[in-house]
Amino acid sequence: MTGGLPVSVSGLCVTGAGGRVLLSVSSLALPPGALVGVRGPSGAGKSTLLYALAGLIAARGRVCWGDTDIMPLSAEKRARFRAGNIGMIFQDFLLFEELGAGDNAALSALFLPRAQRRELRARADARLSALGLGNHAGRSVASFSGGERQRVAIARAMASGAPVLLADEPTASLDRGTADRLTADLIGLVRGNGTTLVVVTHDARLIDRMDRVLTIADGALVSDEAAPHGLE
Amino acid sequence: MRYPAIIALLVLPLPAIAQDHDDHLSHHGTLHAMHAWTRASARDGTTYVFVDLENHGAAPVLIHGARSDIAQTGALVGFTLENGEARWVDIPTVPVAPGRELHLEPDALAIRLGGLTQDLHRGDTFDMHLLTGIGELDLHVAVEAAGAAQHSHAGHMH
Amino acid sequence: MAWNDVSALWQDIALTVLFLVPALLTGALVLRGYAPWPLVRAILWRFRGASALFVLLIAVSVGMGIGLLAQERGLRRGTAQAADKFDLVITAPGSELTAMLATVFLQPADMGLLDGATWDEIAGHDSVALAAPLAFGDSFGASAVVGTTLGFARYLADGQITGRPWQAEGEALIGALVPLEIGAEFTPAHGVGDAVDDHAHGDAHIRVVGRLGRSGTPWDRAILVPIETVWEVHGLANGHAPGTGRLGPPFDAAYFPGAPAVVVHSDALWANYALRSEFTRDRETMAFFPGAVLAQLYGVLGDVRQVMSLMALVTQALVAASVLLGLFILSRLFRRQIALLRALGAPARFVFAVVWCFGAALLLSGALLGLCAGVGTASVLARVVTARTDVLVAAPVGWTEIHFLAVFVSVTLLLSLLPAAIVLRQPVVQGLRS
Repeated sequence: MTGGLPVSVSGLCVTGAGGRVLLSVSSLALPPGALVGVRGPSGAGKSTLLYALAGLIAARGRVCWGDTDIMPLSAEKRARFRAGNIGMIFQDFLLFEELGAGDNAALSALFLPRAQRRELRARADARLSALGLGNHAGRSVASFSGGERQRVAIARAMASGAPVLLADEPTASLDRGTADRLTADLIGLVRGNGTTLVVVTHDARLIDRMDRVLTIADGALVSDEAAPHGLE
Repeated sequence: MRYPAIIALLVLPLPAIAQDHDDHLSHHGTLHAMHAWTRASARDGTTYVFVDLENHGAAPVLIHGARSDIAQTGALVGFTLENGEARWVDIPTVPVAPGRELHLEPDALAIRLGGLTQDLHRGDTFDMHLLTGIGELDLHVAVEAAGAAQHSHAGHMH
Repeated sequence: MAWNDVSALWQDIALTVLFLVPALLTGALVLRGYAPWPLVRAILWRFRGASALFVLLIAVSVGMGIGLLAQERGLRRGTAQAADKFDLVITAPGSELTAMLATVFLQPADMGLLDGATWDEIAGHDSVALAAPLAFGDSFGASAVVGTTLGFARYLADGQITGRPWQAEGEALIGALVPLEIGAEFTPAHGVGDAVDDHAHGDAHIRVVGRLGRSGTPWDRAILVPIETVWEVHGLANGHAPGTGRLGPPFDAAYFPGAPAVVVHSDALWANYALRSEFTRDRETMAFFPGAVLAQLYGVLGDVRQVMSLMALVTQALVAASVLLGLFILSRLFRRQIALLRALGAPARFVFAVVWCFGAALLLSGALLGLCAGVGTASVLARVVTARTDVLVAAPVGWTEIHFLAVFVSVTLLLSLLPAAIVLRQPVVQGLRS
């Protein structure tokens, strides 16, 4: 694994219906491999920042991942960029209930060029093993617990070997114990790969494990501080 | 007399090919033809020519087929129903018995002209030569509407 | 197998492929480089109830269309086959259609009679291989009693007679479906159907001596008797000078009471046409090919058939369109998954391919199931029609229906590009958040 990508954001402005400003970030730079938490009240624009970083939302300004500014790219080119560089995790997992854990984790193989499919499947299986689901790859995810499901989602997000992982409230649907175990596994995996992680969360225990914490309120970046790690 | 032209012919030195004044009738020797017609058709297509024949002679006259400058082939064909589908099959030859009539008509006998070299529009006429055992009989074929069932003068007495 | 058959087969195959080209091309373009099957299977399984209903709807509409088309052709073939033995029929002038229905399909009709001189001329003609007078008008139960010659009975049954041919007046050969046994005796009634008079021929007893082979025509229900018997039962001369004791032709013109129809068969194809010209005489005789009369009927019905095919195709396209609309509504239920695919970096064409494949799977299974349903419908209809008309109708699904299906598949697979394109236009982030 070659480690994470740095991101530099400047003049980012996302407007909603009627021209209302949903999010405005004049400048933000994150180093490769950083673990960044994004917190703030509901509706403040945290998820909007995440989607803007993923290139899923129309916005003005620059969002440079490494050397690539994704803002001028077409929707198709952004999708291609995501496929190679960005993995995403969601609060409610968004798995295909009818598929097994392995098929869910290797979902991207369905649209990759044939030559890359085998490699992606192997990596997905390795991620599942690393997350403790190595023996359950064939089981339908419909029978999985919440923690197991989110682990499958993490394996899916990281199966392509993407240097960036964007997570939207990954622990919000889990009970405390499960959330803590997932947090530990996620951080272990991300650190091990040197992946850049941006995680939007209300979960203070998760925030505590980050290198850096951004606070967003009313669509603006109001604080950007280094966080002391709860452990180590 | 049904065919006034015959009287004129009697004084001619040769039983030459003759043409009736109104184009609907013609004869060669003892074989008389009336009301040759076909249906409007497109170039490169196929059309079926119908005509009423009468043998005024004492010997049977064989009909073999036809030729025309406007078509590549001219075959004598007969109508059959095969498996519920209408079909025309080649008939090598059919005799017109002495004193008898033979009607080439829809759903019976016809001359099939294949490989038309021009479009045939309603109201056009063209020449066709019926190949018979006693020589060629020249016909002036009238083109009727695409769905016509008979010559527009059918039923008239000439 | 003749080359013509091979080339016709290849023509049909080529035409089928040609009709499928838009579908194949669409599929190839949409799917190139992707393997969306696991996802498509997953979506099909998630919406298995709705999917099954859609497939069923398509199958029923396709099946009905195919069944009707096959049935129409089967009926045409069956009726044409019924007329096979009747090369040329000569009657008194009148309606060819009525005469055709009376002779080929044994439908009662009032017809004029041909006299002995005409009979002599027909029977004695050089080109005539078989001439048989037919005398209709009597019946027994549901069976028409038809007077004719033994030659015609043999010709009709292709020589297949169980029991023995008749040897005397008062003996009968029955069609394959007549509910009488060999050896049974019956008294024919005068008239047919409602107009029957059971007592008119009270003293006439006819004995069944043989049964004809199955012909698949209404004649399978007919009872054939020597025409002399019909004449005598009606108190007429029996076609022969008194005291000769002859049965069958030649008949003596002076003692020939008349026959409503004469069936003529000649060995040379051309001879039929010549005979037709010869015996078409104003006010004397009418000669016609039952096959040509049928062909004219088919010609009239041909336009109806085309309208029917078009209507069937339009109906099916509409059913397919509503299915696709349903699909589109369904696709709103899985827009989160669609948005997820986009978030994972799936190209638009891949998402498009998933939705299109879902629709295509429903349409193709519906079309295939419809083909089976069509075969079933056609064979049931054929059995019903055969039972009701005694015209043996076989309605196998043919190339026309295959072509029809190919057009349907192509049109609907192209149509299903629409919902796929609409799904693609839904914004990703709303999808993820919904």
